[in-house]
Amino acid sequence: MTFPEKTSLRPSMYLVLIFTAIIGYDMLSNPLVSVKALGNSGYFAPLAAAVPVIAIIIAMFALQKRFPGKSGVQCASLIIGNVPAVIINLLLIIFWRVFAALSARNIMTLVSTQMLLKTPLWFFSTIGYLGIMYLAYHGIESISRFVAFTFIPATIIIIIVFCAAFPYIDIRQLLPVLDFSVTDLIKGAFSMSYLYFPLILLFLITPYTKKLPSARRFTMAALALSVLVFLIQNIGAIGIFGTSGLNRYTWPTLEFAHVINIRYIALEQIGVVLLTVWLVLTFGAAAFNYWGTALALSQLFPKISYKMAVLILALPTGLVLLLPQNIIDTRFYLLIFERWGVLAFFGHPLILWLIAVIRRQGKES
Amino acid sequence: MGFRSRGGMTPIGPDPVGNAANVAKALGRATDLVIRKIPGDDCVRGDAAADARDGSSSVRAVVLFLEGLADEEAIRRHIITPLLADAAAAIAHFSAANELSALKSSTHETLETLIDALLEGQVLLFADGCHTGLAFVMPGWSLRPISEPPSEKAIRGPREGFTETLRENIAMVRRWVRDPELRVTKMQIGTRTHTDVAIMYLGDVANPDIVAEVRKRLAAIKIDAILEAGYLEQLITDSRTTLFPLTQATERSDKVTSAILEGRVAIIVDKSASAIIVPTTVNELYQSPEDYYYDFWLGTLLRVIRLIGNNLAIALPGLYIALAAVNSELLPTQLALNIAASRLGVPFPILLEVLLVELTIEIFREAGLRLPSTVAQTLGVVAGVVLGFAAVQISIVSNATLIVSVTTAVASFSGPNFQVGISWRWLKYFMILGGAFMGLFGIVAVGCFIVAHMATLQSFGVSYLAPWAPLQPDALVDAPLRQPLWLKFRRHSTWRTKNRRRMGDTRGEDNP
Repeated sequence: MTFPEKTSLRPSMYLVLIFTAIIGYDMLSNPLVSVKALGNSGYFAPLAAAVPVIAIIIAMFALQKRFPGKSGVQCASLIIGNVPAVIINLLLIIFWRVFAALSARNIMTLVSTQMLLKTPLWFFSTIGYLGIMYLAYHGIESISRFVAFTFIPATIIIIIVFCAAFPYIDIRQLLPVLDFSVTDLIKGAFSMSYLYFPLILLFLITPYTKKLPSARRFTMAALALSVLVFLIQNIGAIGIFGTSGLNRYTWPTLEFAHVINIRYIALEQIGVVLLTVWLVLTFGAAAFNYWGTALALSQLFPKISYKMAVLILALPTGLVLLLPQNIIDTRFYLLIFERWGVLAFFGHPLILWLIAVIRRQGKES
Repeated sequence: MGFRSRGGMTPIGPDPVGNAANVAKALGRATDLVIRKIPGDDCVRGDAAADARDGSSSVRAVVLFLEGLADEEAIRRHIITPLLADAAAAIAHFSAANELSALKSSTHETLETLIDALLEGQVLLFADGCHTGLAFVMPGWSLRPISEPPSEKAIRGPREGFTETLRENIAMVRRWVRDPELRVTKMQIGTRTHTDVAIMYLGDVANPDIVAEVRKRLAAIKIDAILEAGYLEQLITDSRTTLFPLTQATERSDKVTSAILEGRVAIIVDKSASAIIVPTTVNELYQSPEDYYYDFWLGTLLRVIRLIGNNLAIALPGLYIALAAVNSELLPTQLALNIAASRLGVPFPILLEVLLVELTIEIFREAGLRLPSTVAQTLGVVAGVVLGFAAVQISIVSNATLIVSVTTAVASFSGPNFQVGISWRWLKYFMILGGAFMGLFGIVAVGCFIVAHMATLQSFGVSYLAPWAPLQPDALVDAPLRQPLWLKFRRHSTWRTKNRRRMGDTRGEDNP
């Protein structure tokens, strides 16, 4: 028996969902990218990358305002016609799914090296993957509830762990401040923009609210909170290890959390606590991404129901996730996706919005 | 109704003896059916059909009731004696002015409805020449005295629990809520048991959609018997496959009253001491009305302790295995060494060891419920201490495992809801397996699975994880902490009530 309930999202859920999607994607290795781009001032990179993202968020909400109740996928066919829309949306979905699967594989490799060296990767990857599919299968309401349930404790623990590392910072490692050119800053912003790729999910969740201005404000708040977390984390990582030290680690955030030594706490390593908490966020973020691609697929081909789309995507995702170890360097391909994904994830909605504005399509305010 | 569905309605004839014979025939000549003829030569008791056959036109009226269900002393005083004194006047009084009489009665025109009333325990009266029958409410079955529910004890608060009588249970709630807006609607469920079920809610507060949904789900039940409120719980739940209770069962009248005042709906079932409260959230299952009987510091402390106890009950054994066997590098060196030392000589892997102790405790717990109370406590202590000591002595289990399992067992009783405690007991084993096979990651994975499953659940349109998910700040301040009573101005948004106002200014002029 089910009680009729219309699916909708409160504006505050945009804060929770978007923050989780961003933080749950890559929180542990990004200081490595930021120091490569801006050296000791690498902590400016996530901030710089967030500035153009604001334009993308505005564009996505503007698109929603022009086409009320339509997702980005549905808008595309109204703006550029059916055939081109199917082609570019399908490319986006494929790109998005492979990218998400590669990220998930990357995280599973991290789990293997940090927590489960002796357990076969396929075993716990399958368990995690089934959980993600289960949550995604039940739709955005269940995902938003899961994320809302975990958001507050996880965020508080993450921020506390990052702040606990501050006493170990060597301030000289963070100096000189602003030691970069404008070109470096732009390059840094470009290379760090991958952190915000999950914002593409706005493309699909904007029809779930009637309070667009409020939802946009909460989305901006989610971006601001994410930037704050990245900033604290980068300051901590660079401040502890310095530019040269950071290059030694694949997961610098985890390493700097390992440095923390809190007496009388029951655990020897705080790093694993951070990893555990972050994995919970990752679970929600992965389910959210899965929902996004499945919904996009079902909207692109209306004959495929959402639940059917979830099952269809299971095979390609599973294949990427369960690729045998040491045969293909998934990390290498993930870096390529991170570098060029900006065109797909940010170019796609921006171009659609620009075309709609130029052609004066949809409702004009 | 199964009885009626077998045929059409039978009108009542003018001959009371004939009517009584029909009733006796319908009941299969039940030996507990008592028939008294007035003003016959005598009162016949026993073979009802034979009595009915012997009836003659001199009989002015016939009184029928089921032995044990009706109060025979009241029947004698209020029905038989007036009839014997002046039958015509008494019948006229009963028939014409039953609304004015102190006796609660109803008039029926068909035999089937009268038989239903008889089976409910009412007393039937057929008068000579009348085409109607009277049914009097004179319950005489034995009642259990009101007592404190053994599974929901409280230090502070009323010692009043529901009994197995519907009208008493309704009256208990009515005594709390003297508000004309308290709505009580009854229905019967069960084609054979015709069990009375009452729905109680505040008319100007409860969400009408939820009330309508409750009615719809109850009306949709087609079953032969309802023997306990648990039957209804299983039939009206939103998800029939989940481990979690999506309705709240309680025997405490103050808990039901508190839920009604919050704008929720209570379902009370006759012959069941448990009431069902809907909708419910997992958060509600850790709260007790007692929390509000103390000041908010103490109330908050109780809730936080319950929450910690509950989390220990689910995760402690799994976490112990994960940290001791898989991710031992996370433990402080001295603690890891102590655990390893305590396990020296134990021949089993830690998973088997924990499962062995957990299973033993489960058996103790289950057996303890059925042991006579006089020996249960002593036997429990003796069995626990002696067996535990002996098991450690011969190295079947380690001290560390015993500490973990006993702490888990005690913690599992910290919550006020028995049903959800059983759910967590089940899930504890998944945590144990997760911890054993995948260490800390397994605990996280199983935890995520559990929360993901809970996120898919709803109870009568309300998210099971509310107010955590979706985030409802107004309700979140009352969970897990206890909101000060003087700040509880509004009802929680969780229940989507019509009227959210609960309290005005509580400060007097002299007490600014």
